[in-house]
Amino acid sequence: MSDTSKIVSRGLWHENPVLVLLLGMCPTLAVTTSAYNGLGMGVATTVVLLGSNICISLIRNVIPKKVRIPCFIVIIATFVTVVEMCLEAFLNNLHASLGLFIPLIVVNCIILGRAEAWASRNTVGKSVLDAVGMGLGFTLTLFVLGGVRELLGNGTFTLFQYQETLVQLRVLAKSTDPILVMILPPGAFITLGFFIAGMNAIQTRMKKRAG
Amino acid sequence: MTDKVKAAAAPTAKQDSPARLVITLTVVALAAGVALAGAHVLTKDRIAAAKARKKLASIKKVLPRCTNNPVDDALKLPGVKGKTEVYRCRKKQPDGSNPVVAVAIQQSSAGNKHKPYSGVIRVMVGIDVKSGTVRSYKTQKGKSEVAVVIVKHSETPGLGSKALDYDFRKAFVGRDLKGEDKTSKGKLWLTKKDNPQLGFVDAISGATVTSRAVTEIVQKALTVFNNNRQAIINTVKTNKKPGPAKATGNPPAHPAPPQGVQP
Repeated sequence: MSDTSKIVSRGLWHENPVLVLLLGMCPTLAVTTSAYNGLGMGVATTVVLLGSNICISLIRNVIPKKVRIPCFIVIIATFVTVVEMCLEAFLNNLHASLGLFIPLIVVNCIILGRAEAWASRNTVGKSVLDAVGMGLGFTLTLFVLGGVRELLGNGTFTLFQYQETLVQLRVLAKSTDPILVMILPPGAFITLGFFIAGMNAIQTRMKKRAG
Repeated sequence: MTDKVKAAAAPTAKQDSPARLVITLTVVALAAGVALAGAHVLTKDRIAAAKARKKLASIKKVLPRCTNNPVDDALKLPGVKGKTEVYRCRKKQPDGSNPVVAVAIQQSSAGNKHKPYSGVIRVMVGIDVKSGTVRSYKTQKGKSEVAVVIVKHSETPGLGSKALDYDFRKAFVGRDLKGEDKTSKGKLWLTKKDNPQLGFVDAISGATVTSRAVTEIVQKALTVFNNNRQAIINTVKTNKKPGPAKATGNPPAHPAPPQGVQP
C-alpha cells in the first residue's frame, strides 16, 4: 500500500474518528437525526479540518511550543466562523437545523487532535491527506448513522434540502408507525453502540484471518 | 522529516522568549481577524437576503394572496411586551379602494405563562381584519390550511413537533380572542385537557406542554391585533422606508391572481 492511500484509509477505517477513536461524540450524537444533517455536519467539519490542517502545517516551524494550543484554537475558530457564515448565507435550512452545533465544531476533539498529533509534525501534503481521510471517515459515519436513525425513526431518507427543494425518499409507508425513539437522543446511543460493535466484530475477524 | 521532529521535540531558547510568544499570538490573531472581516463582508448581504426570504416565506404562508407586499406595508405597534411588527395584507375591492383585509403577527413564547418544553417557539398568525379571527384558506392544490405557522421551535421531534401538523393547528380556525367561532360560544383558550367543557384545543398526546404554549402564543397574537385594530385599519403610511405605492392605492407590482373569495 502506498503512503498516500495508507494515510487516507487510516482515517476512513483503522482509525475512524467516530467508531475507533470515539472522538467528536457531541455532534455525532446530537445532529444525526437525518441523513442530510449528518452529511452536512460531516462536510462542515471536513472543511474546517482541511483548512486548519493546512494552516497549522504551514506555520508549524514558526509557532513556539508554549503558545501552540492558543494558536491552533484561534486558527480553528476562524475557520469554523467562516464556515458558519457561509452556511447561513448559502444553505440556510442546514444552518437552522444544525444550529448551535456549528460553532461547537471549534471544540471538536478531532480537529484539535489532528492539529496536535499530525499537522504540527508533518508536511502540508501529508496533512491534507490526513484531513481528507479523517474528514471522509467522520462524514461517512455521520451520514450512515443519520440515515439509519432517520429511516427507523421517521421512515424517510433525506438527501438534500434547500429552500423549497427537498430530495427525500420515503422508505416506510406514511401509515406505518416508525420507531420514534431512534430520532430521539437515546436512539443515537443505541445506533452508535451497534455501529461500534459491528466495527469491532469485523476488525477482530479480519485480524484472525490475517494471522 | 528528521529536522522537523527535532524542531518539535527540542524548542530552542530563542523560540521561548516572551517577546516571541506575544508576537506570534498577535500575528495569528490579527490574521484571523482579517480573514473573519473579509468573510463577513463577502457573506453579509447574502445572509440578510436569506433572512428576509425566510420571513417573507412565513408571511406568505399565512397571507397567501395580497395585492401588496406585506413586508413593505408593516407597522410597528405596541405588542404584549414592547413593540411588535404587524404585516398588513391589502386586497383591491371592486370600487377601487385597497383596504387592509388581513394581518400577519409573529409572536414568540417569551413571557408565556405556559412555557414550551424546550427553547423558544415562534408562531406567525394570520388574522382576518373584519372578523378578528384566525384565518384559513385553500392552498393552490385545494387543501385547507390554517394561518398559524410555527416559524421556529426546538420541541422533541415526533412529539412536540406534531404542533406543526394541520390536525393540531386546525383547532384555531375562525377563533377570535374570546375563543368564539360560528358554532360554539364562550370557549376558552385552553386545551381540552385543562377544561373539558370549555377548552377547544385538542392537545397533542405526549406533548401537552407544547400544545398549551402554542395556544397561548396564538392568543397573544390575537390580543395584539385587538389592542391595535384601529391603527391597523387606518394608518396609511408605514414607518418603514417611504414607498411611493402605499398612498396611491393599488401597487401594480404584485399581480396576485384573486383566486376565490377568502374568509
